[in-house]
Amino acid sequence: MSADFLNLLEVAINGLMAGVLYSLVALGFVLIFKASGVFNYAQGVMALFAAQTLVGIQTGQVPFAHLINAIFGTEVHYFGWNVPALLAILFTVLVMILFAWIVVKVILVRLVGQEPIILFMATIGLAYFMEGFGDMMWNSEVKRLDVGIPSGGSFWIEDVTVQWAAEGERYFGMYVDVLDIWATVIAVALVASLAAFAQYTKPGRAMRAVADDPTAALSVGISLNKIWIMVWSLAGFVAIVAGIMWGAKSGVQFSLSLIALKALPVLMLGGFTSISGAIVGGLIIGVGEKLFEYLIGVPFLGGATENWFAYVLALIFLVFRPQGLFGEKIIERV
Amino acid sequence: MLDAGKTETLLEVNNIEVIYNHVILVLKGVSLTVPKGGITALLGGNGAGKTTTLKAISNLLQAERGEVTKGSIIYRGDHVADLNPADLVRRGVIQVMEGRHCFEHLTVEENLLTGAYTRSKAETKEGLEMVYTYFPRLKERRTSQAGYTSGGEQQMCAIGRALMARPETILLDEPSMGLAPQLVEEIFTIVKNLNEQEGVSFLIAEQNTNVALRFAHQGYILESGRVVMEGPAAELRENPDVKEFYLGMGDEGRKSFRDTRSYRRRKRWLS
Ligand SMILES: Nc1ncnc2c1ncn2[C@@H]1O[C@H](COP(=O)(O)OP(=O)(O)OP(=O)(O)O)[C@@H](O)[C@H]1O
Ligand SMILES: [Mg+2]
Repeated sequence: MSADFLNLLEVAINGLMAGVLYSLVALGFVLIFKASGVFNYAQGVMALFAAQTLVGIQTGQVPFAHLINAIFGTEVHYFGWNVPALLAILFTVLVMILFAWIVVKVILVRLVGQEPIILFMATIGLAYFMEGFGDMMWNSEVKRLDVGIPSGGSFWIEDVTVQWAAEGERYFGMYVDVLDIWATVIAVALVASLAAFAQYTKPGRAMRAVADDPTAALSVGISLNKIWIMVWSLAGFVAIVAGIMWGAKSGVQFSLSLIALKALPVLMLGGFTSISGAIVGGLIIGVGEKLFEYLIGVPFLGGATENWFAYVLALIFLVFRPQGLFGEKIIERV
Repeated sequence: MLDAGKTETLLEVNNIEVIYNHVILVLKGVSLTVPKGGITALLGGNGAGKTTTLKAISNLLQAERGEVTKGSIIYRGDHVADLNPADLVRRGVIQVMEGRHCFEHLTVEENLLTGAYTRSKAETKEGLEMVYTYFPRLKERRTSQAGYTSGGEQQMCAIGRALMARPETILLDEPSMGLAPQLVEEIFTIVKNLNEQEGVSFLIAEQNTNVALRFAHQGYILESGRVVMEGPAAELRENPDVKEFYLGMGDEGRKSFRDTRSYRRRKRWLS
């Protein structure tokens, strides 16, 4: 193989792995949109908040330390212990479930039957509240997140790919971050288990029923509140995973919440109601934007095309297929 | 199944008033009773308030910004107006909504399973067998997406789904809607069998007075949010006003209502 081709392959593979993360964030949107008809603007902030909480618990940070110190004149910041990663993740899951419960009981229940735009605005409010609340609880410093997932370039892949290059080519092997591989594996496992959950379990079936026809679901004795809490918890869980991956890559800081912006074109492409759409859409966008940047962006357009390429691609798709790539077929009988 | 004389009352609706959106008064004092083991028909034309009455009972009204502002609803001696639909399903009252409302993207069998949401695993299995014996067609179509089945099959699916909750009372809203006469007949026959063999009590809202009164034991006629007539189904069937206005077979070929006794009576109902 020529070195050029191998370079292209490397770009595509890295794009694929970035795409998996986009898919994951988009999935959070899809879950909530399907089951409660809400476009959850706060999804990105949820990932940030989850990552902050995880780091906070892991490093033994005192929550609301600034506030406590200001009121009581103390100087507490850390408890002085470290919580094992797995346990910290478990606590973070509990926090996100609690969060889901509060969102449903305090906000959604009161807005039942309102226009989607009203619900959307409520989630905007929620997003900024959460952002402030997260900073207040865990402070806004940039933090390192490390739950023990290995990272750095894989030597093995480098060694193997070096030999793929044709005789005499100048090629040093492919750079693939182990963290990305792990992220991909975990994301795939997460998506597969979510799909299995929706397909084969009783609550999963109830969730799909609510997505199809909430009133009918109500009529057979399904409690919408419970399903909503479940779905927001699942979205919270997805947010944790996305937060861990992204946080491990680029640290926990405000920009983490902007991954939501990466999920938007994925949704435009894949449709708001399709889980498979979110996955395939994420991969297309991930690979597409990296390849575009490599082949056209850098040589011809001065680079930094990744910021807008995804949206343009999504817009083109949108014009030709408004329901999205896999947008659920609307069943219409005559 | 219905044994006149010593019937137990399951459901009692006392003089209820329903208001939508805080302003639209739709039910203006509706009272009715549903006896255990009976089929009760709730008749009336478009917009008479049949659906509203059923939803007031099943508490699906809340989701539509409707509210029971007066009167009481009593099931087995308990006030149930403030419960949520899930509580009511657990107490044995379930509604099959007008227009069927199957879960379109779920298969027929998944639809049925969803109906057993409030039930245990064993009960679910048992229920599924029971539903398939009454609706063999659903068994044939079990793996089809409900959205792609015929109107009749969807109606059966909706009734079957409600049965999966093992209810004591089913509130059935306009099962005949949009179905060919022989299908309507088939569905009402199954309802009758369920009533006689499984002991399920029914309150059926219908515009198709003819069919409903043939299968029901007793009936109520609703007009503009009021009960204007009630009685055993056989009597209602023979009533000249019912014949004329609801069964479309006025005797003596009266075409002008102006000077008939019925017209005056009808006027009184409407006022
Ligand atoms: N959600 C709602 N908000 C406001 N008004 C409503 C609502 N639902 C029903 N109504 C009004 O209440 C009245 C009774 O409606 P309802 O659906 O109970 O009648 P119905 O007897 O079931 O009629 P049909 O045979 O056409 O189904 C109608 O005038 C209708 O316009
Ligand atoms: Mg109706």
